[in-house]
Amino acid sequence: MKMFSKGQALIVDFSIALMLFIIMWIFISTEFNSQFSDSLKASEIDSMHLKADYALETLVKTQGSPSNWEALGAADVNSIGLAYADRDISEQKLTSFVNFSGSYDELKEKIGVGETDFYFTFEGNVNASAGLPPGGDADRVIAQRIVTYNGGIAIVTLMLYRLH
Amino acid sequence: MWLAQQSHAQGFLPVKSERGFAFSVDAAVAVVMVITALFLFAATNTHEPVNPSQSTAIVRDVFFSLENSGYIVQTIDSNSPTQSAALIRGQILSYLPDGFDANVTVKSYIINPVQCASQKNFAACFPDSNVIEGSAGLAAGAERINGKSYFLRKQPPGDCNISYASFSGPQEPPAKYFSEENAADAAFSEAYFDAGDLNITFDVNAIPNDAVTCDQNITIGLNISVPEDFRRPIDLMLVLDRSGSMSWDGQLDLTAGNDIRVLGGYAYVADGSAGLRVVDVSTPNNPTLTGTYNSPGTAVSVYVLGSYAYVADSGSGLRDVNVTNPSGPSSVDVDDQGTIVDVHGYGNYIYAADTSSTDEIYIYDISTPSNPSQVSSISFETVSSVFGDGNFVYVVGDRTGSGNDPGLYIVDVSNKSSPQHAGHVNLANANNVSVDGNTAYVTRAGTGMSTVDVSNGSSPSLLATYNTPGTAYGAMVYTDGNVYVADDSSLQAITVTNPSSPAFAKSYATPFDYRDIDIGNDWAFMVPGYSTGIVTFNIYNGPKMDQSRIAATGFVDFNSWQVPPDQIGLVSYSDSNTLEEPLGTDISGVKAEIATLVASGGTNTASGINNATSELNGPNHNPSAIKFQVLLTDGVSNSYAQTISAANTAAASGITIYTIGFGGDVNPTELQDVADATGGEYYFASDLNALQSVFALIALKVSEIANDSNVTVPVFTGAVVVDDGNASVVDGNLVFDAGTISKSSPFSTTYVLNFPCDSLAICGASAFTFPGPGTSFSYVDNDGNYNNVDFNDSVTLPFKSRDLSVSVLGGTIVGKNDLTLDILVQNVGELDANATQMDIRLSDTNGQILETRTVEPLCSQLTSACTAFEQEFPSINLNAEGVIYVTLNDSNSISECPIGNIVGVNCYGGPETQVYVVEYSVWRQ
Repeated sequence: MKMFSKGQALIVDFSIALMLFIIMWIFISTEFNSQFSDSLKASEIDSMHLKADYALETLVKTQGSPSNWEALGAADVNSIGLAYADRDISEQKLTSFVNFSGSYDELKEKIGVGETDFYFTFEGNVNASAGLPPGGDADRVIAQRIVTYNGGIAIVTLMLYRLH
Repeated sequence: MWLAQQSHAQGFLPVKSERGFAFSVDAAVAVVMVITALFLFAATNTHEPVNPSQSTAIVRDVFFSLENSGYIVQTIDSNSPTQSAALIRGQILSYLPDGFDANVTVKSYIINPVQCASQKNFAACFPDSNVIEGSAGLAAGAERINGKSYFLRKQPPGDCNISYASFSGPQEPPAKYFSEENAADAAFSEAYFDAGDLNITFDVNAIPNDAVTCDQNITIGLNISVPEDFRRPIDLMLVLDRSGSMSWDGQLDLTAGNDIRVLGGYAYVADGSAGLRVVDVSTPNNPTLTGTYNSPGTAVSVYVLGSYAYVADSGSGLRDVNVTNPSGPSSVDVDDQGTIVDVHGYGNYIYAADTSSTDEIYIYDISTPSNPSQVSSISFETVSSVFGDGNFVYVVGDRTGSGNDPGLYIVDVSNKSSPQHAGHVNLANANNVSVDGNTAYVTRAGTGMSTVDVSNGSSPSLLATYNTPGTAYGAMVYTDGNVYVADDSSLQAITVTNPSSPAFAKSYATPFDYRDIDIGNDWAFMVPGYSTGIVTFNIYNGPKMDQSRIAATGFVDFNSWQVPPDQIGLVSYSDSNTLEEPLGTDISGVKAEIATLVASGGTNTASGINNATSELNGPNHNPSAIKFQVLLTDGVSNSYAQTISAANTAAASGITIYTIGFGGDVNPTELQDVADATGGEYYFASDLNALQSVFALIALKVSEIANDSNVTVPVFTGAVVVDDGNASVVDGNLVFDAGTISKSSPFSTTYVLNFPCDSLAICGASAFTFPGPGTSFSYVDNDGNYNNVDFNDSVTLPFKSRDLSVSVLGGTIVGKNDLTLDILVQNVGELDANATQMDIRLSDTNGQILETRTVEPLCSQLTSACTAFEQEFPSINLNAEGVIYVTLNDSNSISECPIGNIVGVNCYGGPETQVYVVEYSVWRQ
């Protein structure tokens, strides 16, 4: 009876241990996958944030390259900047940006967002937009700056997004 | 294996069976804890991406943009620090997402220039003691985004604008003249000259004749001469109303005025079948009926004493009427039922002539006026008039059984109870008697009026008889030494200062048959015995007809008529008209016709005007003459329309009608309309004096139209007329009545002007020309055309004035409320200037005086060897800033041109430097 009792206790303990092992394995495995996936996504969002911040910073603080890019054709534009001075938007550059002569993909490249889709809006004394608004569910980030434009204050918003 | 080792090491595995259940429970608890821990781990390990750098950037962007856009500067520049903080905070939050809050502080530092000069750091230059601070928003949260900016308030630099308010001019306005407007229509009319001969000579001279100096009189002489005498002749027709109403001054219709007595402003009239009339004659030319006592018979005579009138009421006796109330006379007693034909009294007795059966004179005692009592009587064969005087009664009649002839009988009534015949004198046709002193005046119908000496009542004697032209009915002795006799067709005034030799004094023509007369206060009150009632007029002026004769005669005699070539004629009218005297030069003939006019009939004014118009257009008229009518009437025409039509016809012929309304019965509108239609004027005259004045005025006007001419001299603006040379000032012009200018009597006048040195209007004038542009001579030629000839002679004299001028040469900003000015005063006039005062004032030309300086006498630059013509005041220090005015000669201590005496500068020192510090803290709530 004692033998039986002792053996029976070992089996129960083993079973519980096994069960705990299995539970922990499943949980850890699931959690790892989940955390890994979220981390990847967060990393991408953060990357898009950084990209949006950088691209918008470039737009509102630089004149672009060359500095008279607004007077040039798309092929001659290295990068786009909208500033007349720091955070003071040039009307001519904004107009040229909105009416950029190149393609959307070229425009993405010129503002430094690479393959990421973007949608640019300008709200102030005048309203303007560039790029494409997202057409469906997408991961998106928004960067926003306050600038001056023709003596007034305007809000510049750059949305980067990746469609699912 | 690790798990097993751990479990073993910690004693998880039981050795004895009785401990197996406990192990199972422990394991189960462990499982649950592990699972819970895992889920808690999983739950708290969710990823939430945040981007704190984005919030910071936006906050800084907002402040940066507000700063760059100028919002912050504008806000702090125009608001207090507290207001600015609130506004800036609101702007910041408006650009931030929800969930942010902010605190903004604005500090305004004012520079401390002293400290800043020695310690060149912010704390020294802008100490906290000089700060004004404002804040908005709650205290900052834990995690804040802070920022701070400094703003130097932009201030204009110090400035001194010396051209701020330059009054220095001088504008140097040219001398101006008063307007010539209405000069041609000035107070005077025009002269008449031959249109073909305008060879008029003008001449002007001035004293002094070398220059005009301000504040000194200059005498200007003007002369106008003509080569020939010119005067347009006058054709004038007098049109006089001679309607019946012209025979009185006042009139009141009654029934049959037989006898009249005037006492105390009332006339008492025995008015035939109407009884006794009481008439208010306090305004003699406007008698007004106030009351009536209608006696049953025919009132033929009245005597008034006190408040009682005794009425001889033929057929119903003597009526005693109480007239205490003039509007309600009432009979109080009847004393005889016979036929009383006349009544008169003396003292407490009245004497009544009764013809009812046997003619008698009754004597009544009226000691009790309301109840006369008969005392006695005395018989006559006939009686017609009675007059009591003293102890005698004078009776016109015939004595019964005496065999005497009709005449004046005298009864001794010294004993009223027993009257006795005293004496008599035969007077055929005698009908009325009045006694004055020792003379009785007896009217004797066609024989006239006789004077009888009654000094001895027992033996009266005829003195003289004056045969009046008509039928003498009643007489009244007046204090002027005349007896007035109602003589049927006229009132005759007969001088009886010597009763033995009565003489004609005056005749008052009348269309009526007067029966009785009373006179009071020089006014005659007459009754004609029929419905014409009472007629009144002043015995000295006569009725309106007489007054018209007097005034019209004076008009014809007006000494300015020049006959020839002037011509005068006369038309009279009543129901129709009469050309009494054709238009011509026979002035005596006109006056003679005027004297013969007799009032009678209606008022056909139109016929009078038309006849005069025909005469003025007829063969007698002078084609070169100007044509006038002077119409006199005392009433309303019988046709207004015809009268106005006649006036229009006259006007169409170039005739001017002056109208005169005489007395209160005229229609002023009608006469005004007649005058207006013809370019004349209407006048009203209430009495002879006024009528004579009106005639004289019209004569003067007509003459002036023919004679007068005007010289119009515009007066220089700023000049003072010291002596106008008897000119009138019309619309700023001196208008001289040049009067009649003839070859032997040219027009000549002088006037004196003065140009005050301190007159604004003469500033800058360098010369004056006299008599000045616009001076003209106006007249109308014989063709009726208006002519205005420029006064074509002139003299131009240089003008010397005194004129100081002040100017600010420059201003220097020394510091706040501290500046200096360089000032120059010059004499820019032609005359030397004495010392005066210069004031420097703040903000206004009458503002606070900052400095006062004396300007020394300055000679004129035109004065020989003059060097001190200006005085400079360099670097006058003023502890002030702002608009500074420099005023010269404020008290007008010297007389000089006021232009250039004020100059203004606007000088401000550098303003205080201010620094604003704007701090913000933004946090997520």
